[in-house]
Amino acid sequence: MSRRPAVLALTAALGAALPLAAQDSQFGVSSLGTPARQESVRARGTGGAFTLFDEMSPLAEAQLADLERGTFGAHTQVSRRTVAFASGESFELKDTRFPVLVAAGRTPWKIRIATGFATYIDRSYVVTRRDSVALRGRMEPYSDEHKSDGNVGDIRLALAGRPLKALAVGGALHLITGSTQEEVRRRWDDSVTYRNTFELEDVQYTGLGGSLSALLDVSRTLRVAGWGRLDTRLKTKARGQTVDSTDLPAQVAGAVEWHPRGALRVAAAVRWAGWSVAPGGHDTFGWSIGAEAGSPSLPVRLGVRRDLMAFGPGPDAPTELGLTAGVARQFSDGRARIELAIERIIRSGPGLDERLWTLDVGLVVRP
Amino acid sequence: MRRRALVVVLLAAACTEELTTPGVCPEFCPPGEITVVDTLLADLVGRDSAFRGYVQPYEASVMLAADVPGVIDSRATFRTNALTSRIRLTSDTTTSPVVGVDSMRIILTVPRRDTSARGLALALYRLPLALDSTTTFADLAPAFAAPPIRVVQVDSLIALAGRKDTLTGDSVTVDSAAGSLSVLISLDSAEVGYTTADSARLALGIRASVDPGAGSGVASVSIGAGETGPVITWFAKVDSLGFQTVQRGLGAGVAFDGYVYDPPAAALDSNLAVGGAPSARSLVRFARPAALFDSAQIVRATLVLVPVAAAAGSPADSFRLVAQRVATDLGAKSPLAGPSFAGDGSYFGLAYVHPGSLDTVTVDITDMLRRWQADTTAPTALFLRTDPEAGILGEIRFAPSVHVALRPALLVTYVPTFPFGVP
Repeated sequence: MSRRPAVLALTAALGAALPLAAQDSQFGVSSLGTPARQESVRARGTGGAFTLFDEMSPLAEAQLADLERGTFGAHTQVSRRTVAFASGESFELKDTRFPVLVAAGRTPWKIRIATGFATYIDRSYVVTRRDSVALRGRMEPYSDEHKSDGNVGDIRLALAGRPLKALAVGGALHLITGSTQEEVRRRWDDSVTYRNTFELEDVQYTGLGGSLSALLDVSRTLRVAGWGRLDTRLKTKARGQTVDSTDLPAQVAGAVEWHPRGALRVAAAVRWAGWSVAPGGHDTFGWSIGAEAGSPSLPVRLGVRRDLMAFGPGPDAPTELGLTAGVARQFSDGRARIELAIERIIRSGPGLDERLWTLDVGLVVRP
Repeated sequence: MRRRALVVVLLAAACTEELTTPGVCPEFCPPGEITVVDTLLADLVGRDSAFRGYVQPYEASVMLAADVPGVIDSRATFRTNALTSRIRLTSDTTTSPVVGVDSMRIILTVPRRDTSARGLALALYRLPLALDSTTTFADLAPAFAAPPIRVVQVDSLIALAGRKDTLTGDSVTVDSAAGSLSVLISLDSAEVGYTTADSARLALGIRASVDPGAGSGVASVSIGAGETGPVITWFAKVDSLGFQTVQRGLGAGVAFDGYVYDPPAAALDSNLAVGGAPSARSLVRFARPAALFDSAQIVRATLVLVPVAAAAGSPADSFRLVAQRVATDLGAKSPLAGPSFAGDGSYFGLAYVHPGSLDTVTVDITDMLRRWQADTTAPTALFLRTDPEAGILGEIRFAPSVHVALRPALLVTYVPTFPFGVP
């Protein structure tokens, strides 16, 4: 197989994946969901430290100013999750998602433009519940199943440019939209006497947001970046009516990148999101440190990150620790690149621990 | 080759999803919960009324023979067709006259009897040939007062080896799976009483009796009518061209069958009468509240009927009460919906009524209500009737909707609309 057909086939495979949530968590089931990390595979491979410097990460915009050619990027993610409740029960879950798609290019006015899709909040789960209820003088056991499949997505239109040689700025408008197909089902043990019930509904979400970012080249080897975002309320519609309106958080992030020599880049990042505005939410703070080494055609990446999670029971936010590694390989004279990242995530919170292995496979094409 | 494998793996992985976990509630369960409402809707039924005359005793699928002193006295009756006067003995067109009968065989099917009774006997009586649908219990009283032409001891026959009386030729076949009997009665020429003037037409009546001191002491049997009615075979004597007399078996169809009973059915009143003979039905109409029919999922629905008096009928004969929805609401003439009672709960609900009992009767009509939810054009009305109609003498009367305290009600369990999207 030549390289061009291989790249096209991989593109088709990525496109065939459904645009659903990524890296969901049981901590978010009882609330809005699990906020997603809008990172490319490269950024994931460095624990998120390079997110504000990587043009294929849809979180920020300023880094697009250095884009030299039109670029398309997407990635798919396979995750295996072990959910261990405090009761001792443990369950293995797995899913495959398609969390990020980015298309970026140049305009005639030295302004770069980008659009794409990224997951904003994951909302995919299937929860079963076993209980009984007193009906007509008897306890009637039943099993409930609540299934949600889908997410709240973020469609972005971003612009970036360099007003000064050392300063890149960018901004984006975000259309927050998406839907989850939700099913609730009750199965009675005595289903002859009591009929089982089933309801299906497409729950739709809408909102708007705006973000600004800047990237300052402090020196030839040092860059700093900042990013901020504000969103409107997230409106939830079911059966054609608005059934909920939830505040979305203000978010900020900052990062520094050090490029001490040609084959090594080191970055660190911090981020904060005010998720306490949402019901059951916690403000989150996180940091990342990551490094990328090697030639552009075959870089190797490492990273570590620690975050608080936005949702979880109790007054304290659950914690998340991630150790990451990644690699990339260029093809077609640098016009295509396959990215791989693997991540071990450990989440801990009241009543629940989660252990994840995630494998991200991305494709970046520069025609 | 490696790249191909990578593509295949990616395509396969794109379809994988296993996300099921047990809920540890409320901490790790989704917002919202399926709620169940179990409530008695007393004002749902209205514009109900009773009608009689749907199935007459002579249209019933069985003839009823019962003798419950002080409660009911019912006697089966049937009349045979005329016997042909000439028959062909050879292959040519020559016919020979019937000059008399040697004997006759009657086969009766008994689909239901009180198996707790002992000493069941069926007594055959000769009845006037004028027997028809207008004949009353009183009209036949003199004929039944005469000595019977034969008394068949059914329980004794069952106890005999081979279930056959070799002296009389009577026998019984027992279908234990169906719980039915087939009684074969052999009558000789003297018992038959063949008369040329009547063209061998014959009207017979049957009374049932049991040993009052044993078992339930209640005599009550159903004898097949119509398609399962008596099978009559004459063994006729034919003049064979004046040289000798030969015997031929000739079938005689049943021209009429039915039963007479005393006391007659009580007149209808404001209550919801069901059963008896001629059969009575009660039409029950339901309102269609939007909260229940438009947005809830019905889990269980039970029609609650309160009798105003103990159900009438033989104590041994509990009977089936059927709630069957109507295809179109035309009042008393509303046609029943559904082809039969075979299994489809969206057409009917079923309950058993025990004569002498004042217990509230409940009928499960869950599937019927769910059908009404799905078909908004269907009339939300049903008939209460017995099964088989006029095949049972039991009758029950329920309080109507105008009776504030005892009116029909719907005990319904339902799941309201789930609050999707509400945190």
